Amino acid sequence: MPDGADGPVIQTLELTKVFRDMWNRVKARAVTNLTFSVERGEVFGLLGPNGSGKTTTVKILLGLLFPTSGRVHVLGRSPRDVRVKAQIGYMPEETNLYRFLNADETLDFYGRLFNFGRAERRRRSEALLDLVGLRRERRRPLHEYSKGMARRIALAQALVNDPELLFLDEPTAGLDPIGTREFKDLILELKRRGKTVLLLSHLLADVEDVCDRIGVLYGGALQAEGRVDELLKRRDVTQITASPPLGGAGARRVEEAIRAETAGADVRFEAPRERLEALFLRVIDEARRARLASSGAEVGMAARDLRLTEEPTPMRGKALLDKLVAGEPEAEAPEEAPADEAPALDEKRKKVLERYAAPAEAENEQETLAPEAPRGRAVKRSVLDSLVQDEGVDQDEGLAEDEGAQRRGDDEEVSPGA
Amino acid sequence: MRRLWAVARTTLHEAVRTRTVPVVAVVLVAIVGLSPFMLRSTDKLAERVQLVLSYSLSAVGFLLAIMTIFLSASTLAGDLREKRIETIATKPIPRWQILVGKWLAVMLLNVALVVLSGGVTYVLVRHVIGRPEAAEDDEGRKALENEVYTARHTVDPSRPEAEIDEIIDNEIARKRAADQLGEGFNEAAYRRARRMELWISYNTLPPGYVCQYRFEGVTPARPDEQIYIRYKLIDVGDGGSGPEKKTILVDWTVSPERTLPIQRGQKGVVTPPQVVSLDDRHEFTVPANLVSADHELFVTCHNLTSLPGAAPAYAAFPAKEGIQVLCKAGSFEGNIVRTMLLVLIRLAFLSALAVAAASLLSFPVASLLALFVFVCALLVNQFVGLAAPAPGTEDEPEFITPTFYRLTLKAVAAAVPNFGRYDGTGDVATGRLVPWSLVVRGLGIVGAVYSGVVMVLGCLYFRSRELVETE
Repeated sequence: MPDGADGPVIQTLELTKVFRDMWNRVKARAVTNLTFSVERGEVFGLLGPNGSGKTTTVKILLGLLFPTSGRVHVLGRSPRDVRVKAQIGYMPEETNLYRFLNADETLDFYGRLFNFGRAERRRRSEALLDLVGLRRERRRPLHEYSKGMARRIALAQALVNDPELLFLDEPTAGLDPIGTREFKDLILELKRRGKTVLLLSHLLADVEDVCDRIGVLYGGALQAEGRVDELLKRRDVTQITASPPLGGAGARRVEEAIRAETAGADVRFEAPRERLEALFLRVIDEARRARLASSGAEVGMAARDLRLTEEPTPMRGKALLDKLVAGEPEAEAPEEAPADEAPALDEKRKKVLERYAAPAEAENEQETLAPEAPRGRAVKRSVLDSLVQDEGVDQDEGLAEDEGAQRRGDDEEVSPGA
Repeated sequence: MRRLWAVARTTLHEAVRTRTVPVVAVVLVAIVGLSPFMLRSTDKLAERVQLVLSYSLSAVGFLLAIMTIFLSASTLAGDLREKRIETIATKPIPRWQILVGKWLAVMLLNVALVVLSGGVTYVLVRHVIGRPEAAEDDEGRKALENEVYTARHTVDPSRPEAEIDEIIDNEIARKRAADQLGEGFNEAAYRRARRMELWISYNTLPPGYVCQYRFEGVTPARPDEQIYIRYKLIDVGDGGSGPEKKTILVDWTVSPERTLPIQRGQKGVVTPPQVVSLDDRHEFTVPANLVSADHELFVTCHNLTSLPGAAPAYAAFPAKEGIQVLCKAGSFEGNIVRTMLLVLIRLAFLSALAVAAASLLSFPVASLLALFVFVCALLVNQFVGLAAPAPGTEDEPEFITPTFYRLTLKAVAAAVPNFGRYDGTGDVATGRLVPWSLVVRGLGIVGAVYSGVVMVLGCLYFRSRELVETE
């Protein structure tokens, strides 16, 4: 059972943060008497304009800043406790990673900080690189990465420990709509697995799509807080949708019925608008279907990199990843050589990986055209499943042991690839 | 340890991939390799080799110190400035391991660079420019082997304080008995002045006089080997009239006892009279079995220029390193290794200092602070000298330096390690032993105490500081 399982995952009480200059004069009052909590399994959005104090709040929750007054508990402990840090993940607003390392080395470095053994680090790296679609770019130094790719590796490092609590600071900033959609799918998948997410974003549509609750900060104080559904619900209007659309006679009959019910009601008939994001994704999908545009330059780096959309079938991808993360002989892949031919296994694995990572072949492209969101979620789930198997953590540290036990418990509750 | 090693490993990657270390390695090899061409050449091969050794090792030590300071400060300050620390400090790694990991990486690089530069220096000196067959003659070869490619234990003469005080006591007693002391006689001032005069006169060698020195703690490795007596006589006469170098005719008596002249049956040797140049360093050998069981040796120099037909020469032994006894105590290779270890110990302190400073200050300020401390550490001996009482005024101290500066110098000298004390460069170039005891002492004082204190302070501050720059 992770720490803080009984109470809120995040709890602040009268939190105040005042920045002072070297003469101890007040420079800024970033947060004032902030009290809020985030429950386990919630996706909580912290919104606010620039300078509203949300980044300061998160950095206090991460133990990078210390409160001037008030109390903070993360997973039931002080944010500065290393046991807390073993259970959290943080994706900062700017991708501040070592630019001279490549993706493999980056994930290996952060894996070492969690004291994972070599095999465990490798297993997690493989799974995370698949998850964020950077397998083909794993050997390139990060300074060569586009902004979208950099965001993906930043996400991967935040997930390296399969955190119970994830802090995401503007995670979709700089991503194209496809990448943004993938991020949101991932957040929803994490929530489905019982993880807690604290999301900071300026993109209100993103927050609306994934958050259970939000808090709006302004001037360092919480101005509004509540469930998204409740806060956004208009109680003075009733909306009726019909499919297929009503003809003129049908509409008139409905209008009459409403007016009979509520005299003087303002009744309007109009076709509901599609969201721009959905339109964009549909257009790209159709373009692919027609083989009009499939290069990264045309559909964006993210679309090309995120091979979740290029999987022939979700189950095939899941099976492949399961093999990869479980360390089973690659030769067990249906069309490959016998398992006992050890020297040939690496070659076989490479071929399987190449097939998996390569741009969609002609026959696969047709298969890719099926609706993407369910597939993406299915593959992500299988990758996340592989992340929660953490036998490689050194057992010399009690915290790691407890954490592993909890993760194994999660495994039983969640059906991978469902 | 895996977390600490993760930080160290990434810092190593940083130093190599940002080309800091490759560039420094090339510069080090270039400095050492080009040193024979950059130095003023002399006729004697041994002196040329000594110059190359001294220059190369000093330059290597200095360059590595600069690299260590900048690399150590930049690696942590860079993480803070670029906000990489936010993704590291939110992982379960104790903050002190971040600092120690950085320090460890810089020291591993230093080990590699010290081995590289020490190896290149050794090969250059021993197998390229300083090959024995390149010597001008047999004497040159001998000088090379005895004065460079060796590691000799050095013994300075014991100052005859008791004898000098006895002379002064007798003088005062005599004057008092004769009632010559007069009103207001300041005995301390008199003693101070006489002590200096007598020490100078003790080292002075007028025509016909002798200077005898007692050496204690002379410990040759084997009784059948040779020990070396190195000396320098300076001209204290009128300076002469011609441009030619002045010479002196001397002979030497070396014995285990204070007896002059040596009687038949007594142990000791008397060298034949020899003409030697003044103001140059000379060396001769005597059997090690002349050393007494108490490890004492008496060396006497006789100025023979009072003899008929000889031009009178007034000479003196300089107070510092005027005459020394040397015994072979190790190898040149061992000396190089110990000297490079001392370099590493100094680098360990500088790295710890720069990392600790960067935990508190920005890169430019941290590196400048570390540079300032480095310069102070090099100058500690000078600081101590400036803050000390004027020579001969120890009983009633008189200071040349004003009190404020004196106190400041003393404080700085106490606060920083004395790099001059833990430097083997001069000794290795002149074939003097760099003892293991010096390395161990350096390791304890500079490597453990000074480095440990700055690192602990740095870790304590880093643990308690906020890691986000406020805007």
